[in-house]
Amino acid sequence: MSEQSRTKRKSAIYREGIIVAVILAILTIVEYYAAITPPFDSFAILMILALLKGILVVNYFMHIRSIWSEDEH
Amino acid sequence: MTATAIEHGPEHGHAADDHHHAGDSGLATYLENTRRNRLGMWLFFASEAFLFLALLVTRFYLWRGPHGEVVRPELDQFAGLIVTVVLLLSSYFMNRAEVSIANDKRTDFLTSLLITAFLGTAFLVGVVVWEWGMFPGIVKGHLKPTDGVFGAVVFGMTGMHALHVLSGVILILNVWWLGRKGHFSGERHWGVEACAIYWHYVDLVWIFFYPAIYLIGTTIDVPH
Repeated sequence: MSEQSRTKRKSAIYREGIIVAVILAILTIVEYYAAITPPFDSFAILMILALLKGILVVNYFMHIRSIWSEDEH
Repeated sequence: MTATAIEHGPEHGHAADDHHHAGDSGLATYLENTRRNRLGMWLFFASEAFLFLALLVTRFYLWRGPHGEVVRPELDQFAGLIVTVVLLLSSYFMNRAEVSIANDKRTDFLTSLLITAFLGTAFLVGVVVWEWGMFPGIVKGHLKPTDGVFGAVVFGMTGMHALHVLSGVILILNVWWLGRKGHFSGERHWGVEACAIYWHYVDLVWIFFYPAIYLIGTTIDVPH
């Protein structure tokens, strides 16, 4: 891998973290306003929002895919 | 390679240089061991999930109104939102710390770890001071542990979670201390990864606890 493409990959990983954090923050605010705005305050809607946040954390921050991947360390 | 060797030997950046001649086979063994460690860590998370799921089920089973509707006690919504955002932000910095050490950016790695530990502590202070009201001179809490099923469940859920946050902060400071002394490198940093995924797991639990405690259900007055 060339130095240029390595640098690009590093920046992409940093950027990915920022994008995920921003999406999590937006979903948290949506969750909060949904809870105080009927009829969006239902159990199902709030749990779906929590589930979306959970999937983002497990996939991007906890790297669940690395359990079965060979190259990550 | 033994588990002890993984912890104290090759993860040390300088030790990695010393063992340079061990070459690819040493790294391959390290990666294989890391894969096993990772699986063990996820099995640990699965076992912990039972504990937290039991607390969530308890909340939805016990917090019911006279007609069986889902209810919740009056809590400080603003404090709940702020501590949640603080914890999510800490997850971002933990991720940044992990990415930084993977790219051999030690200063960034150490700074991000310290910020994560600070945000984790801020979360703890938020829960203990605002929600628990342990310092009534500053903020009077909404509930006491003795306030029936509401007090018991709120303190049970937040208490168990806070214990995990506290252990996470101690773990982060330990990794920071080792990192300062030159441990870990871009190639060998399982210790950092384990600490990071543990911290994200603590965040993941709160992602479900936050709506369960603060958002879902009709608010009712809890008799003190």
